Amino acid sequence: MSGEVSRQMSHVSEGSAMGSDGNSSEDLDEDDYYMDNYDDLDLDCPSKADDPEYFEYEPLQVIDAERMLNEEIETLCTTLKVNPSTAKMLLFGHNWNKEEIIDNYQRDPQGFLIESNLASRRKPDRLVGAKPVCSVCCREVNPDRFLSVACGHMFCRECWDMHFQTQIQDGITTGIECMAKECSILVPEDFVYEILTQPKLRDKYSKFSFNDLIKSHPRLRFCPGIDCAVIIKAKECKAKKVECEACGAVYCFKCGLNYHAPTDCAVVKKWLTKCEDDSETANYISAHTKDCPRCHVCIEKNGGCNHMQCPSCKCDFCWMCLGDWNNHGSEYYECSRYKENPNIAHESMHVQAREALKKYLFYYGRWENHARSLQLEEITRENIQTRTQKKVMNNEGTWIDWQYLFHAVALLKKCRYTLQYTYPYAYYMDKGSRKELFEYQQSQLESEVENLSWKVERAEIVDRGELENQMDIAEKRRQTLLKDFLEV
Amino acid sequence: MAGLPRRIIKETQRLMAEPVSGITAVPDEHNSRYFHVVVAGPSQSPYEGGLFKLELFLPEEYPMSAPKVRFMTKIYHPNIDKLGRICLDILKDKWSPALQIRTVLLSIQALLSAPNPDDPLDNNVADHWKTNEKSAIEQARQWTQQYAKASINNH
Amino acid sequence: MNFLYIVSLLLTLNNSIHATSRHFQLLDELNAGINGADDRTISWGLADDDDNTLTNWNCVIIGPPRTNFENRIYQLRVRCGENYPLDPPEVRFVTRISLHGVNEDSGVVDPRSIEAFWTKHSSIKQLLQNIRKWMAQKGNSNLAQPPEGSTY
Repeated sequence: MSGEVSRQMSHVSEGSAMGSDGNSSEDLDEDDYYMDNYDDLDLDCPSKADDPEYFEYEPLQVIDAERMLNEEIETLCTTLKVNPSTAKMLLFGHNWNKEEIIDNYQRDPQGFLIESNLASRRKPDRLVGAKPVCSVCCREVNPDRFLSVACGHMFCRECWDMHFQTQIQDGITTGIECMAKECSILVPEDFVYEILTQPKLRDKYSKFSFNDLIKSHPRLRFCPGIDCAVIIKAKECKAKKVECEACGAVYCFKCGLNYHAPTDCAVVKKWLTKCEDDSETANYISAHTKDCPRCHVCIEKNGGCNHMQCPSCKCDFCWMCLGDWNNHGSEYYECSRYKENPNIAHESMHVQAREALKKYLFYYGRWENHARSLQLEEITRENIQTRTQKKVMNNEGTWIDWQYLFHAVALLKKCRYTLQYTYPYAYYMDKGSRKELFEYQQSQLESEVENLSWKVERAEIVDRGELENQMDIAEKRRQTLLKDFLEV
Repeated sequence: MAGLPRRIIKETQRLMAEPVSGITAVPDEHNSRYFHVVVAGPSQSPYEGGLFKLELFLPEEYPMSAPKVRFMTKIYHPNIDKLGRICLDILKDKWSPALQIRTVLLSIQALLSAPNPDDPLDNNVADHWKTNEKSAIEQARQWTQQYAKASINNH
Repeated sequence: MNFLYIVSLLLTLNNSIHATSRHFQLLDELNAGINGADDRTISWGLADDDDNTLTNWNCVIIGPPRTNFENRIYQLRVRCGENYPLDPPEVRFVTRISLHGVNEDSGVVDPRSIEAFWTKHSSIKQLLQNIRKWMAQKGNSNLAQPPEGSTY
């Protein structure tokens, strides 16, 4: 891994959103405030030790990634004295684990190549007669037109060429196998290049096999952003957050889906599939409007905050459960917890099915609601932008003075995002004390996020210190939950 | 159809000259890449006594690509769906240009003898097979009587 | 030899009335339909999942933007006959629509307008894309439309 040493990993996840941003300029008072409140552990690298989302990665251009792969291939060639084609296949087939490959190869070169489908104990086919028949095209062909890979199954050049064409059209390159039945011997790239005639397909082969190599490499990932050519290189293959600086996509390094902490890759995939399958049934609850639980006036949600106040009767209620907001208190935020019917096991299939749907709708509703709130927070941010602009024009402070509001919205979005992804986690969790702890922390986060959202929407009348205090609490809750439940 | 590959001509000749027991495959008179196939239900299987019509088509890329095969007669089988599509590895990723029409049809015949509910194409049928094999086999037998016999008279 | 006799009888009785590639092409189209068109503005699937003749299809076109059809969901029935794809399918709107080439009283699409572009290489996908293009054409795009969601 010679290329890796020279390069300093440049990106660090912005776990401590407030602290690090504010440090450089601005008024010192505020920074002191953060420092006191925030990290009392590791002063040199405040986020690394403490941040459960900390992740080292860097973006590569295609050409850099190519160079990196070639270096790894060359190292293996020199160590094992094999050709580049073989080295490439070995790395591809064994998860790019160089140490393991070298170990195994040095113990038993022939055995290891056989196990890797690159060699065979089989005796090569003997060609019979002046014009042997190729068993694929059934034509009589000159003996010098016959070729085989490691297994010795002989076929004519034209058939190999056709075989490669068909496979490449189907997107298969590194995995192309011998044409004989039940033969899994792999075709190395030098053999393909020797035979493949069409220049267009040669290009395709080279492009596809590069893609194959990147996809098989545990520490590399194509950025899933639309039309983004960046390849992300990470120190290790973990389900952590990557933010592409080229296209802005935010995703999980391990699976490439939208970042999903604290839920893990397999669960979030299951959840998203379920949501897609059940979208019809879930649709009815995701309507934009609800009635006020007291006066039944129709209310449209136009901000991210779930603490609603009816414009007509002024009652405070929770958008999600339509319960009285005052009962939500900071003590225990019951609305994020699904209450299972305790006698469900004795009920009929029909009731159980309905209960299962109810449970799903409960979690889906909250998941969907936070997703929508997240979009609405963007509107909140725009509103703040407009209002701040006015204030600055009227000489009520400078841009810098109002920056903290934007930090607050950014933090709010981050917390709400995590909150959204706690719901699939909870949905698939088994009943028990761990789930209770999770739901307790989730409810804590839920409550602080709503408090923050409420204060952000009314930022000008809320005291700055109070707002910043709320930011700190919300982020702490988020970090606590991730520390306890994020497993990568 | 000009320029039919030698391979297809050879295979067709052999299929006609040395037919596989319990299977017939006859090329269409207008399209030599299309075969009318009949497979007899294997003995000791619930399909015994039935004649199952299939269609088989050799795509342009054959033999680099697998033939396309489909049941036309309704059949109750965990690896064959209601549209007659067959779940068989050699028709998909395990295809090899060295395999032939003959081997494909033999594999399909073998699939009738040994249904594999653990790799299902039709989930309902597979569940039936796994939860109550006896009743599933009875159902398969009934369908054989109902659809795989009548087809001779109906068409 | 009894088996072979019956079989040969069966095969002669049944010799290629339909186009030989019909079923396999329609199965491919069915698979393509499950994956959906790239932009999700059209979709197609079998009207009856059990129909092994693959004859009747339910299709949807989402009206193109900046037209009177915008954001409306149009349901269609497509019937692929025995000689598909040599013969074009029969097409009928289920959702009421005002569009040149579509019969006002029945929703049936004029076969001549389909024949105009149909070749043996065409597919249901292309059919739907073409109809959607008609909607966006001048003379169609601003036609007054029946109430949304009404059917024939």
